[in-house]
Amino acid sequence: MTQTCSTSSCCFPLPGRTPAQARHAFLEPLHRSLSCVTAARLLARTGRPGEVETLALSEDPLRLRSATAGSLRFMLAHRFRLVEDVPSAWHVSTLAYDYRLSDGDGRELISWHWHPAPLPGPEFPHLHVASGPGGRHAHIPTGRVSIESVLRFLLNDLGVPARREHAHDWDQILNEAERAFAEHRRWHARGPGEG
Amino acid sequence: MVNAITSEPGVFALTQEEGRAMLDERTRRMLGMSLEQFEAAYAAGTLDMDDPDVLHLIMLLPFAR
Repeated sequence: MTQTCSTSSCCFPLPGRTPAQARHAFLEPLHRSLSCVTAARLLARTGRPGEVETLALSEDPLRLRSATAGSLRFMLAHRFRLVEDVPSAWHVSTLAYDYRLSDGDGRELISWHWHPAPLPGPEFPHLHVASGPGGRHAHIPTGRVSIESVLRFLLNDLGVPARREHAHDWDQILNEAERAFAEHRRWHARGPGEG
Repeated sequence: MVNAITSEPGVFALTQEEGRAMLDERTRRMLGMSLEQFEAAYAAGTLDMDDPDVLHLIMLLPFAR
């Protein structure tokens, strides 16, 4: 079934002549980016084109050590589907994400969310900051946030060490993956009320 | 057990059975309820949607289907 990009999804049209190729083109750089900080596996529940597909980490939460914040826990949930633009041209369309950073005791510090209907909550991408104004229930509007940008925040700002095999190329890996995200996304920011 | 789905090592597709087992472990650990109980509570609208763990697990429900 041919599907078009709707206002409640965000497309990531990396090249794919088949649904499998498009899925691979999305998942491979994503896992390569995650591998900069963890050896955890990226788990997927795949489906037929158009169906909701979901990603999670095999370690949930993922335990990290920050040079500035001590023990941290990171959780990831990501939904997408495969969309056919024109015959033999498939891409991944993100449907929702939940990236959460907690302290070593599991108390939420920051969460990057986008979970439009049919999931509960606001339609726009937002941030929860437990210690911010309004507490963790405030929905601070954001643009779309990539997993790579969250990983860069962990590495650059919080001093989470890169894995030894990526000690010298993690920046390049994240740059390459994020460049594709930025070039191909169909929208960046959507505020409250813009559904 | 799990199937690699890309040439990148470390990316695996779970079957429905594997997905349900994974999610059942997570609902028990995070919320103290089985996956079946979680699915029933979600369908009944009785989950605490302010709980970040609830949203996280709802996001992962396709693993069970």
